[in-house]
Amino acid sequence: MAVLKACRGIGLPVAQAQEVAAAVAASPSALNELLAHLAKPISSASFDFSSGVDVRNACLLRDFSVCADAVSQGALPAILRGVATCDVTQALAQYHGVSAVMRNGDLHVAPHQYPAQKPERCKVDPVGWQRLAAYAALTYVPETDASRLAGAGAGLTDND
Amino acid sequence: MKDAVFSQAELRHPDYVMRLSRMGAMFPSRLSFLRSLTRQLIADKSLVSRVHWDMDSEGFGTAVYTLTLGGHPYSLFAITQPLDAAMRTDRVIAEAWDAAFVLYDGVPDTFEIARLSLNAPLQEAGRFTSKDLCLSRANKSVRLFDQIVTALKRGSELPMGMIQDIGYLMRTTAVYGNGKFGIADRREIEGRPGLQGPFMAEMLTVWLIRSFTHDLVEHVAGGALPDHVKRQLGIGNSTGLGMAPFLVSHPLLLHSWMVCRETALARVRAAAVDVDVATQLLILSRRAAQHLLEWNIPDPLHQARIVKLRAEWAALTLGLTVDSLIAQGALDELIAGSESGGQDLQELTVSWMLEPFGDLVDGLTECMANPYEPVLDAAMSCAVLGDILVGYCGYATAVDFTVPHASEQFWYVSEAKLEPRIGKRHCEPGADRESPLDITRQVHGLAQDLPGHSGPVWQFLAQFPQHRLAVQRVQSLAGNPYSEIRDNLVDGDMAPIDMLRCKLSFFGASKFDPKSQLWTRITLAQGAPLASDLAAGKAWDDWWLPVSAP
Repeated sequence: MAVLKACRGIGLPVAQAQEVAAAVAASPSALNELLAHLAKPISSASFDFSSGVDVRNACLLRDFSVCADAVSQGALPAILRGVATCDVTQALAQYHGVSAVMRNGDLHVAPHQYPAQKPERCKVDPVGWQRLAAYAALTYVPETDASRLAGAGAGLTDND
Repeated sequence: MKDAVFSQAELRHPDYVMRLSRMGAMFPSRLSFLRSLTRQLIADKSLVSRVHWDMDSEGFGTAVYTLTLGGHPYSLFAITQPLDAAMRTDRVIAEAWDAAFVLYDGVPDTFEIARLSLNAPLQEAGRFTSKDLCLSRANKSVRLFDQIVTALKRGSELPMGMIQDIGYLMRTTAVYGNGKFGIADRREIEGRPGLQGPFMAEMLTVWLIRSFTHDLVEHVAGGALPDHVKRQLGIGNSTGLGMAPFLVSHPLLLHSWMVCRETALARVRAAAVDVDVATQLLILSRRAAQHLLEWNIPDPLHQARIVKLRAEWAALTLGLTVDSLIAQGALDELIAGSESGGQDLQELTVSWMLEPFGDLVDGLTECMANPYEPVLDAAMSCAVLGDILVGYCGYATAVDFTVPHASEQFWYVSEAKLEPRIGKRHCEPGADRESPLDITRQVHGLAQDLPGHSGPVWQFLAQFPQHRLAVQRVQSLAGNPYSEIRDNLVDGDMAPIDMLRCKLSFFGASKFDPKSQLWTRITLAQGAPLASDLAAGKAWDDWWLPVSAP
């Protein structure tokens, strides 16, 4: 949930935020590198569908799913130009059931099968977690007296 | 294994069922989760043992209750501490409570009791492990708790009117499960017999808390409550906006719940009614009438609904006899008759009709768990997606979002303890951080941008990434027609209370007591079998709509 909110906090659309959250939950080693991606501004990508899909100026967290979709439809090659492989790309690849390998400085996404994996509990770096929480907090609305009184139900005391 | 093929009528259409006002008129039924739980406890012959009780004379301390369900031992850990009245609030922003609870996987030893004693009162600020299945907290119904203690101490008459009106000694203000705050993920227990259904661990927690509250008041009072009084004391709950997003964020689960209920109704409408069933229906119709008479709440708007329902129920059930009920088509006639009344009458009629048909409908509860989420069909063409929008999403595409009222409200999470809240978009800050519960508006936006695009949906989404969720939801809707609330959840007139009541009715809640459009108190497990009933082999699955004991 923290990853989901952090992704939403930087402006990622909710579906893509859900996918990133699910990917990182299954591959928690990607958490630290995720922070670097969260810090990047979200670019406006361009797409060439003439042969598979070729994505320029990609935002990894938003646009990986486009390549995964293309691969699922046999639309190859699926390329994210100028995107480097990292734990996050591998987490997303595993989530989507594709492979992501570097070729000539670009990330190529292709079909792949992974063994079924059961998410496990993991230890997180407290500093990294705090940074993630700061991004998630971008989705919280600051408290005001009005919202405290009227934004939710129940009284401020309930002694009945 | 015997195969069963049931005749059934047509299911009621999702355009009819999945409207907030109708969802906000639902009643508990035998498909409700607490009913499923108690049937399981009865079938298992589960016995509850109180294995730890360390309470001072004022009722502060710790307790542990243990039972076995489906071959697994589970325990409720309870801790009570003094609470200043100024600190007692039912809201998420509360920092302290009269009692805190953990449903524990197994039987906690001394070390674990010490750990739970430290962390349970902290709730979300505590540290929990995968042995902790559910986390809950509750506040006393101060009025009723104190009055019962006083009556028991004095040996005077119990305040039966108040017991009937309030129906609980404590009310939970949250019951957390599924990995929240570090407790066990649902996947750890979802395969276990007895816990496979939705919210079974949470229901078990609530049912055990009820037993604890009975023991607590008896301990403080130094006297015993008769069993028939204990049965009338369920466990209260204060439900606010925190529950509402669940129905939106779990569409396939919602579909499973609703389609099972509608299928149950369709089977019952096609079923033959014999003398036994007809007799039960008559008895239950009178019980429902008594329940409605005993259900009185302070909110004038909702009390007026109850008053109207009493009259409509009386009119619908007037003159019913065994002979009239066993006549061909009698149930369908009653359904048709209920259409002349309000939605409260219609939905009460549905719940009522399901009651005597356990053989036909109880098996459907095995289909109510659904772990799946909508998945994008990347291959779908924009043309087919457009057809689905036309065929299934008129409720969204027809909304005029240029009118301010259509998006007057927005859902958000407050910085203050992450409390879910709702705001007025055009006069309050925060809409830029809106929670994405505006599915109808998102579908509407998709419908605006899709025309003119051809080819596969995945290419459209590359250029319109903001529509990915809406596409997933619309695609799912075609195969899961009860998955979407077919109303605008940011409309100025939208009442979150309708969403709360729908979910709570599936839990098995009764005596809805809305305090505003944003929150309600309810009673759970009122009338349900006691632990002592299970022990004595006298527990029955017959507690739909609790009424005062004779």
